[in-house]
Amino acid sequence: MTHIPAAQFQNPPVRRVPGFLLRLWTSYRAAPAPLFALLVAGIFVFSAIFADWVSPYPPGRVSFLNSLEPPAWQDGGSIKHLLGTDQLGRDQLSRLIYGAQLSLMISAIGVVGAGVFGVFLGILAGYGPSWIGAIVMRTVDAFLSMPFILVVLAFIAAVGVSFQSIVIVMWLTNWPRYARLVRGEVLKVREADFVALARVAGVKPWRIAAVHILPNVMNSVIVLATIDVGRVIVLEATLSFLGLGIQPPDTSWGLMLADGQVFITHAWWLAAFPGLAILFTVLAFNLLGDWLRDRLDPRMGIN
Amino acid sequence: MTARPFVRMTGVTKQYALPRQSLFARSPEISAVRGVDIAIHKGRTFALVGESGCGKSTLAKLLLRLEVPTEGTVEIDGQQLSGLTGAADRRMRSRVQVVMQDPVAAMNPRERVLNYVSEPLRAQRRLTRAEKTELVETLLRQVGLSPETAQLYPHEFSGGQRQRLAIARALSVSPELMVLDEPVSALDVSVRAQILNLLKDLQEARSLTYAFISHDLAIVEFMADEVGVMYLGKIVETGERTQIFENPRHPYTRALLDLARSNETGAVPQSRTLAGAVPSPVDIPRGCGFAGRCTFAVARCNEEQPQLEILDTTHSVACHRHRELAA
Amino acid sequence: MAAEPLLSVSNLSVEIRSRRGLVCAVSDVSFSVQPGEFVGIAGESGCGKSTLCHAISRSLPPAATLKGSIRLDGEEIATKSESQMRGIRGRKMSMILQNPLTSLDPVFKIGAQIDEVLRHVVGLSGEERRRRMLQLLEQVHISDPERRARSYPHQLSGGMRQRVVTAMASAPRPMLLLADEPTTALDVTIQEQILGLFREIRDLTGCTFIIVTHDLGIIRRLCDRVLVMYGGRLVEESRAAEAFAHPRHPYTAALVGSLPRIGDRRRRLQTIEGGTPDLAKAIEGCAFAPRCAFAIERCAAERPLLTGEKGGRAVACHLFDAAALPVVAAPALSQVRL
Repeated sequence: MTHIPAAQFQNPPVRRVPGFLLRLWTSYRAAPAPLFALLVAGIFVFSAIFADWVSPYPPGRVSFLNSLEPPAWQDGGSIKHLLGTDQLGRDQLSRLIYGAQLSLMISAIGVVGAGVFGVFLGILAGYGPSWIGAIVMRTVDAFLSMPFILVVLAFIAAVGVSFQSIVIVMWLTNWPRYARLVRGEVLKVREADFVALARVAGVKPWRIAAVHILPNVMNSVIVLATIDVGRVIVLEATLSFLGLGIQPPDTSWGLMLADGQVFITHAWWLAAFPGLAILFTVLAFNLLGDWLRDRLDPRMGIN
Repeated sequence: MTARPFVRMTGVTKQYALPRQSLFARSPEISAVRGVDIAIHKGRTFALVGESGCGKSTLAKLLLRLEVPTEGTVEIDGQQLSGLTGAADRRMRSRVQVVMQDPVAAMNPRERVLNYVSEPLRAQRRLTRAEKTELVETLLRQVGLSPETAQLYPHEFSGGQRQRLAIARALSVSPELMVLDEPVSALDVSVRAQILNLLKDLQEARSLTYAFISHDLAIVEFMADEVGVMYLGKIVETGERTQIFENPRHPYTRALLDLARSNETGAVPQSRTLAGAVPSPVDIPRGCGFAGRCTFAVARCNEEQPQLEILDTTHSVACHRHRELAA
Repeated sequence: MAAEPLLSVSNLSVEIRSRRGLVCAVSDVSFSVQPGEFVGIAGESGCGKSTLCHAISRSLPPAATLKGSIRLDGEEIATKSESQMRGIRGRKMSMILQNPLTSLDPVFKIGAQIDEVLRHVVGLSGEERRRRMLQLLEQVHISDPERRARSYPHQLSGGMRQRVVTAMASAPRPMLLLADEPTTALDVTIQEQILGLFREIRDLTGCTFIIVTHDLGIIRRLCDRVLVMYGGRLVEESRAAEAFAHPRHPYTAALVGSLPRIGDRRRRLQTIEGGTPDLAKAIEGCAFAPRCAFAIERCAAERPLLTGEKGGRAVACHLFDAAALPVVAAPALSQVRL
């Protein structure tokens, strides 16, 4: 096989395919939206991790003299409490920072756990034997049709309120959506020629699932996961509001939002700041998700 | 031609079940392939010609073991394909490889060429990184691509280049049989010739056996040693290339040839223009599948299925009237 | 050829803004089409033939800008607004696209879709529309039109759908029908049926056809004249039979030479090495020069112009300049011809 000189054919230009980090960085300079998102997410994650150093006061320090102080820029506000205080005179900013700890941890553990479990079952249902698919999908239907609050009430009543039970609730309520999404995508990808080619080559099914199917369904999973970060924070807020979530004196954004509601007419800042924190987190993760999805795709080269 | 054929299909039938129309109805069945016998000898090219839905791609899937025949047997080098397990199964996978039609769909967009090309061999045995790189670079050179392209992702390649990659991949396990399922029909005209030449060169250099599937008779004539013309799941005529192209006996073969010639002469194919379309494979006519479109059909054609009749040791035709038409 | 052309395109260019920069999909294309002609536009993917077709029907994507002149039936349409174009599309020209399934709306019965065209474009009244709809279906050889009119697109075969699309496109009796790869998705025997249908429509209504395709066989069978495009430009214009028997431009010659033919006993096909040019990059000289077996120094530096008789044979190649022709081109190209 020497009679075809390689130079005779036009080859695609070989440029060094940039590594993952370089791809992240270059695209980053091109589009400003992700910069904002990363900044916001970064600030929240940073302050959550280093809450003990960042926070101006311990979150539980009560001071009735300073109760219901408005934020610093309003009449009656003071520079000592930038975002005002609550009915017990606790510093809002400190509580937001410590609240970020629990809220972000719950959403991270909740989303990753539900995602991993859901993706695994989704691939099994889409690429495994059809009877497994049937069992998984009927279970998914059952989970999705159950009224959320009722299930959660029953579950928490049974196991009691704790951080662990909140996380388990997040898993239980979120995995079916991943499973259903992934199975749908798998059914599409498994018909692709490259899967048939791998079968012809004798590649083992689990390897086909890992090498060919999983990477090609991750786009949609990442999109769903970033949306879920917001969803889980709001779910946690709902639980806390019902008294089934985070218990005082611990705090989370959801709990602050719930507590602040009572005072919404004369102390707007109590509900507004945790609300804004949730809003920005959700927004930031959605933007990051879009961007990450584009970055992970090798077809989107650097321009 | 007395040696044992490398590929032998005997009485192969493939039916697919369609979704049931109602709870109590029997699910309707599509007969994609109906009783096909094929023998391909080592180092030769057997071309299957026919229109979409004639069953030629199903036959390819049966050879590749992507499907299992409903009836009949497929043998490669004397080994029956159904029931192969373990090491025998793996060995067989390395003896039969494929190049598919769509050069885009054939590649996982998230996999580098290095892994794409080496996948069949890695499924056989563990390769070190160095072995893998060396293998891929050698293969890329053989198909006329530069070895540096191993690091690229599929989207960097044009259709013709991707088809070269598909060929390199198939060659990685040094197969004996290559199933070529419309390997050039998705390519630009000027690139087709490159790929067809490459396939011919490779066949010569490695004494490969080709099962070549195409709807384009001019390409078939260029590539094939033997030809099988398929219609509605059956082989209606089969023979050596010269027999099919110089002495076609089935009205369908003649019509296809007539159409192919008009591509070159510009002449409007006169009497043999085919009316209507291929019947649905759900509802196969009782007689000859082609009778409804055949200008020569008589009452018998609608009643009785013609069987393949041997005209010559290698040339067979399934038509009630071939004798009269030959005159 | 003295008659007033139905369509005359001059110095037409289309630039498309894309992620990769400005792509000159069509550059400086001029040609004219006589009434009742079948004209084929041939070329490989990315040569600009489809863009040219969409430019003529003014259905380019918003990212594209069009320069030059397109005169249809004596009227300049390159500068017409979208609302003015609505009066011209349908009535004066219609289009047939490659995929008949996406050309039809899956949720409406085909009778209703033809009716829609007859009502809004042709403007017929109720009873007349029905009569005409059935007549149209019959005209495109759909048996049992009454029943077929009540079918949904997915209930028809690919060939039948393309007939319905053809019926819809020809319903307003347009002067010009643009067909973009009309037979590419169809089987060979069905292709011939559709080509026959086009011929019938031409004979019946005197309609002019522009067929855009990569399939040289289709052009050979159907077209009177062929325009060969490469790299966004016209490289050769000639009668269809002539282009196949005696191609002049090295690209046309190589394309024709690379086709396997019935009764051909070559062991290897002639190939064109390399790939099509990247239209996002500026091309100096002849776009085909890097792949051309006959390229001379001048080809890389200077762009050849399309020269020859208007409406007859024209070639854009330096080898055919008066001085060079007898010396270089004739002996070299004769080896290429089949």
